[in-house]
This record gives sequence, structure tokens and C-alpha cells, in this order.
Amino acid sequence: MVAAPRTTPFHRLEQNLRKLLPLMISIVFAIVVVLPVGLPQWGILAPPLLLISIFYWSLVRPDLMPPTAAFLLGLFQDLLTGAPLGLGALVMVLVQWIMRGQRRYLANRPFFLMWASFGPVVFSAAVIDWLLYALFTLHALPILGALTRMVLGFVLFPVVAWVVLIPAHRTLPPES
Amino acid sequence: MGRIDPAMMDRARTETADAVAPVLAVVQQPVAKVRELVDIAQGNLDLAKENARLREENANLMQWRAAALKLEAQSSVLHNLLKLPPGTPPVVRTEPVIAEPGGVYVRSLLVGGGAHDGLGKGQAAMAGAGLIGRITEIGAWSARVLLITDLNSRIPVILETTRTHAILAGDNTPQPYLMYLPKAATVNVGDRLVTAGHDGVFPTGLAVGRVSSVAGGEIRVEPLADLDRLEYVELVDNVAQSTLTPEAAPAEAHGFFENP
Repeated sequence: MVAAPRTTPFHRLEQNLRKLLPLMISIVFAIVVVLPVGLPQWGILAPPLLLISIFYWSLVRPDLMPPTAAFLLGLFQDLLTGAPLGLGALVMVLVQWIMRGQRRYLANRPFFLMWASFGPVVFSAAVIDWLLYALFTLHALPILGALTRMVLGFVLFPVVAWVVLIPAHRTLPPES
Repeated sequence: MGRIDPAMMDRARTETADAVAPVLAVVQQPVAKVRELVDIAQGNLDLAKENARLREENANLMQWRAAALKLEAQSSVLHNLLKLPPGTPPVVRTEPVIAEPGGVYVRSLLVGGGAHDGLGKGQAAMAGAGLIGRITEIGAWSARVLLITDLNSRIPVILETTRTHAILAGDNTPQPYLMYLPKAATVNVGDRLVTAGHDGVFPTGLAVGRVSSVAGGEIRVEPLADLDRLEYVELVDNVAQSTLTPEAAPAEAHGFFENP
């Protein structure tokens, strides 16, 4: 039996704070998307950063992105953007639930597999979002906006992953 | 489970916006700085062309200024004849835009001022040249402005030249359209629209936009303000809106309007 590493209270606190990283990153992403960047049509094109974050963490560390967290993050996004309350929350919980089940096929596999599987997820999220909004308001909006956003999210996925998510993942303490 | 109370949902939204407003207000500053630098870089590239355009525009505006001064003088003479009380200028506050929520469905902004700054629900929001929307949710430190392009935006307007009434309705596209126009009304491309003020919410006569296309019974309006690039918005207080109070309206005035 290997002796357990010596842990000081400070060390334990630090490890536990690091476990909040996925949540903090998701909150920051939700806020970044609403910043006024002054690009034409930004409102429509803003990439679904929160979706990317929840997708990634439910796949690699579902213990740090439980359904409750996904739900609350989705709700936070709805409140911030003024979207119908619960729409984003539902989509985020669905994504968390589906990706959690895919973990054994996708974790510790080449990155492009994960990227490829993000395609159908972001596509379904856009369609569900659009469909529910249409039912909610009885208004069929042009689906083009939702699709453009989805394509942009898909293209940006590796960038967001390499710049933010994967480095953050490396600093996390191992799963107990 | 009981029904969800819409008022509670509104409150949840404003509370969230209030909580995030200070963060947004701070983070927004470097973003605004970068925007400014990009603008300067872009401006330097075609400075000569821009100068030529501005000179031409300036010459044009000088003529307009002369025309406006003449009309103002004439208008004040007519006001005197009608014994209209002088209009009180509306109270205007300027607040920074702290968030432009993304998403496909809602066209709204968060501004960094709320009830504590004297803002109130229903106030008109202007940016430079024209109306951009109105305050729909008000928190203590932040307020949400529903843009005129949003699906749920309906604003009573008048065509400036023909005085035809209509409703300006948004449908989430960059150009809102006109609803409930009288059948006989003639509308031409380029006609200007101003707020009618009949809803008792907006001051009358705020510039809104101009007609950009009339095709197949669908009349589209181009907003005067550039809704894609909003940094500051002016919020117009609707308390001091009316220049014509019932007791101040003289009897002669009615006669004047009926038999010109």
C-alpha cells in the first residue's frame, strides 16, 4: 500500500477550489457572450460558449459538472439574455445528460473524435432551441440564424478547447 | 405545481442583471477600448475619403441649418399666435451599454443605470440620430432596453410628411415593418417616421427611421440609429413629455385646426 501524500489544510482547500474551475469558466463564458463587442449582428452570431463548456466538462469530468450545475448555468444564461426562462436550462441539462452517457466512448480518445461528436450535439441544441421557441411564441423565426450560430460554435470548438478548457483540465486534481 | 408568476420571472431577470451589472460595467471598459482602437485604425486607412465625404456633408448641413433656423423662427411665431405654452425640454440621461445579450431570439440591451439613477420602465431609449427602443425591465442598477427590432416591440409612429398613423413592429430582422396603415395611405421610400406618443409612454416626435422599401404591401423601415454599434444610449424621461395640457389648450386653437 502506498502512503497517502501529506495534505495540509491549505493544500486541501486549494484542491477543492480548483474543482470549482469548470463552473467558474462556464459563468465567465456566459458573461463574455453578452459583452457589447460592437460587431454587426453579434447578437445572432455570438458563439454558444456555455454550450461548449458544458459539453466538454460533462464528457471529461462529469463529477465537476453535475446536472444541477448545468441547469443553473442554463438558467443564468436565460436570465441574462432575456430568453424564455428555462429554454437554455433545458438544453444544457439535455447536453449534460447525453454526454455523460457517451463518456466511455469518447474520453481518452483522439481530440478530433470529441470535436466530431460536438457537431450533432450543437446541431440538435440549435434545433431544439428553435423548435421550443416557435412553440412558445407561435412564431417560426428563420432558422438560418440558429444554424449560423451552430456552425460558428462548431468551428470555434477546438480554439476554445485548446486555449481555455484543456489547460484548465490539466490543473484539476484527479477524480477520486 | 402552481403556475409560474410572470412578475416573479421579471424580478428574477432584473435581480440577475443587477448582480452582474458591476462585473459587466468593469469588463466592458477594456472591450470598449479595443473597439475604439479598431475604429481609429480603420479611420486612418481611409482618412482622405472620409474628409471629402465630411466636407460635402458639412456643406449640405449648413444649408439645412439655415432652413432649420428659419423654420424655428416661424414655428415660435405660430406658437405665440396659438398661445401654446413653450415646450419643456425632456429630461435625458445617458448610460453606457453594458451587455448586448446574444441569442437568436431576443433583441435587447442592458444599460448600466437603473431606478437609482432615475430611470423608469417605459422610458424611450435614443442613440444619436434616432429611437432604439424602450426600457422594459428596471432593476436598481441596471435596465433592459427592448430594441425596436425585437419580435415583441410595437411602437405607434407617424409618417412625418403625411401625418399617417401606423404601428412599427419588429420581427427580429434588422429592419422592422409597418402595421395597421390606413388602406388609402401613400408611403414612399425615404419617408421619415417619428413617434406618435399616443401610447402615453413615449414623447411625441422622436425620430425613429425612414422607409427603406415598399414591396408587395410590406413596408420596411431602416432605423436611424445604428443598432449594431451602440456604446451609449440616451434615456428620455416621459414625465415632461406633454407640451399641451388640457387647461392650457386655448379655444382659439381648436378653431384654428378645424377651419384652417
